Amino acid sequence: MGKKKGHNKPQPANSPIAPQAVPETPEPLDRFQKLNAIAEQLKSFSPKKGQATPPSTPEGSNSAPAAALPLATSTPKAQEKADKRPAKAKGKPEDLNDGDGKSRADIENERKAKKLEKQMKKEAATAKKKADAAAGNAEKPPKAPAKEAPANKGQKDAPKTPQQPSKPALKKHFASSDSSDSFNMTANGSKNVSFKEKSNLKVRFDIQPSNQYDLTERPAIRVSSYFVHATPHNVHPAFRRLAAKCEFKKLNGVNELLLAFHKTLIEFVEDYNPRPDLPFSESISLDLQPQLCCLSDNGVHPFPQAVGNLIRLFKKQIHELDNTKEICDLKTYLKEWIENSAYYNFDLAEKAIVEFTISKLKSMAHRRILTYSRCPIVEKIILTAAEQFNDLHVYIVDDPNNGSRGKTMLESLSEASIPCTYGHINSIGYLVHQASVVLLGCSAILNTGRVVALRGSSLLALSAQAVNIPVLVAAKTCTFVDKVRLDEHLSTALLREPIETIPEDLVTALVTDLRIVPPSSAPAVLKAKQLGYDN
Amino acid sequence: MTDPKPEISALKMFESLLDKDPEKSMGLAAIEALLEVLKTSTENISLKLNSTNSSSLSENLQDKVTSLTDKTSTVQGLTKDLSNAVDEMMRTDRSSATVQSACELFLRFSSLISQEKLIDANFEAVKCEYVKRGNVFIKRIEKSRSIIAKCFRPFIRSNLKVLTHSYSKVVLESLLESKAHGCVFHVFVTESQPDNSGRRMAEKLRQSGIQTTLILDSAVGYIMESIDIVVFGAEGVMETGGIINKIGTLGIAICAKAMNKPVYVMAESIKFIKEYPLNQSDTPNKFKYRYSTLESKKDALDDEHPLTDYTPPQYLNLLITDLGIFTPAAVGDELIKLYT
Repeated sequence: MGKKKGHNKPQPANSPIAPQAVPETPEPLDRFQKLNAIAEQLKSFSPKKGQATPPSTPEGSNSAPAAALPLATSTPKAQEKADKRPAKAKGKPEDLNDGDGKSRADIENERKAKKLEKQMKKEAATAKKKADAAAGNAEKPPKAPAKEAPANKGQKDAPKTPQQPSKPALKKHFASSDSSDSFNMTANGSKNVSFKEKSNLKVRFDIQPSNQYDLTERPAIRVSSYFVHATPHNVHPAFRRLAAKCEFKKLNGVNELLLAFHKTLIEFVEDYNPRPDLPFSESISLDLQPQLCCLSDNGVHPFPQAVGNLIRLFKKQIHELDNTKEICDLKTYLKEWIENSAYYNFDLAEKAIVEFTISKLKSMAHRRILTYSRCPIVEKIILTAAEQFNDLHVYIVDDPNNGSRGKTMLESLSEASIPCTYGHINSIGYLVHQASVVLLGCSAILNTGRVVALRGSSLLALSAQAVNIPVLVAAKTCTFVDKVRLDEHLSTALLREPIETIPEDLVTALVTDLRIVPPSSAPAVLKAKQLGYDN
Repeated sequence: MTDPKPEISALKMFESLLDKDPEKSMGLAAIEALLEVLKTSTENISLKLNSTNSSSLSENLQDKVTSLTDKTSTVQGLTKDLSNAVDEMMRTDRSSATVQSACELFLRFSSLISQEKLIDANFEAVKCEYVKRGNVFIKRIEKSRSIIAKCFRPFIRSNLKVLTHSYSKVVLESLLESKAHGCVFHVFVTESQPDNSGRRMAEKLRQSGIQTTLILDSAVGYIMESIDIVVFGAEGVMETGGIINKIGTLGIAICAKAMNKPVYVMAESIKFIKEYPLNQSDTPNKFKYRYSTLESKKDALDDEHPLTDYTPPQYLNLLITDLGIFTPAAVGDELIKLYT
């Protein structure tokens, strides 16, 4: 394997990445050679400070423009590379040029020469491989499948996904050449670098504690739902707006997402014109499918549980529509149903939960509440409680890696003149001794009573149990699901926040809008809810 | 022409029932008192019907009668009467948890009349329905102790050492029944201060020939290693699956759990209460202190010794009730069924 470690390719000042180099080569390249060219570009492009970068890509951002490759600075491997060339890293673009004394044309020529060199080497290698095929030379085969697989899969149609180079993912996809993500990679063309060049990367991160919970990193489930092509024609802009909002983290948490989803559904129903040949309910359910597929990437990424509940109920309502009625009547009926659902599950449910919790807080001697990050229901509870009780004190534990949403809560509580204490998750040991009750929010409740909540919540529950203080979880009945297990490490379709499950024996009570329930009674609540829907 | 019956004081009735038969279940006494209240309002109605026939009714009497009947001529009025009666009975110095739960369940059961009968709009018929259902409920409850005793029998083998706390009529009946069926076992009873009620329990047990030992409350930790099972009664069973029982129960339960001894609770279904305490301080005061104490020392309760404590569900193994044998987690579901 050729080691190109020693080669320091200086960069021209405004070198954009990949696209420019490729069209200049005159030879008719087959796709694979093209990729090599791009790879060469990528390898030689080093992130130096002060160097002009594509302005549209802010560092560390999740959303990247499709065409230009985002910066390699966002990945640790590239950082390593940058570190290896400290002198150059500090240099400015002008310094580089001066230092090496090469002009742009010279550099281009150099590159071409290198490329040809490489090509020749490869041809030799493949020839050699064929010769050694019988002997089963261990070195060659790993390279070959990598070459062939992307060549094949590059032909496939790739759905539009946000693209980020993640070099650890490269090795992973090398190992699993069947992974559906690999064809995403090759469509960009940037990531599937032949591993000859990448051998200088020593460190392997298979599980990276990344803050960016992006779709391309996680292994995707191939759900056997049918593939519906989501085109601009059949996806309503409201859904795409919703997806964009989630992408840009405008919607934090399941609550806001649910509300936004309700509004989206209302817009969809309002603008919907049924197909002439089908009854209304069939036609709307047919046309709902591409919307959902667009959001969930054709079932590859599951919806968050509460959203899934809503969709299921909505579909049920559509099924039960009486098709003999007027279309506008049906539409009004559906819209009313959605509005009612929003009203019951938000305004009324939250009021009920707040009331129940306050009745519990009333009987406490010291009202010192410990909570985690920001849950809108918990915030409401505390604000309402502050009106009734004078001795309230709130301890907010926050996770600085996940957006520090606790700070927003801190601000709103301080505005209401509630004494608060704020700490990061590593101060939980200290804070839990000060508190007298733990109040958590959740995004779903499973059948067994396990609570699905933001990552970090179980630490609060565990510490609370150790010091013997009760743990209350504010759970709306619409978030109860009939599932026993959740694949926690899989990212969900719209909401990318990391979640975890809290075991049911750590939770003292679930405060729902029906009543206060022990976690073991979750199936009873589910049954009650379903009966309510059946009526 | 008969005088209208004097209004029955529910509390007096309740107390008199218990005085007549000290072994009677407290919940049962409360329910019977309520039924009497119900019946007396019914009789006033029939009184009115009789008197209007008679033409020579003095005006005073007529007014009195009509005023009585006006009070109880609507379902709402009846419900109000009954809830007043319940409030009155809660002012007892006996276990108010039992009274509250029993009354609430009784009222719910009685008023669960089918829609067709309500449409009739004949108030007397409605009231008769109430009384009928009330009687059904009472019959069921009278049997509850024996049902529990039967359920408990398989748990007692010969040469078993049983630990129990204070004086519980249900536990007593169950142990007597097991003895009557030929089991030989040894019962340890705690003295259970401040009222020394364990002594009464020990005497009753000895009278029926069961080998009994009275131990100090503080000797529970010492004796636990030689005990096989622990049995409690309950004054109230909470929605969490935990129980309210005589003070000291929690300590014994924790000790049993630490030494892996099974803990069984015997409670009639009328003792299921719709409350969800999170810890000791979250338990309502009306369950912890007697009514008289609450009245006289409203603000200085800190100095008062509570008479009961709350045992959380994690220290209990099974609850044996007349509705069946449950784990603490299942009690919540049962309660939902009972109260809806």
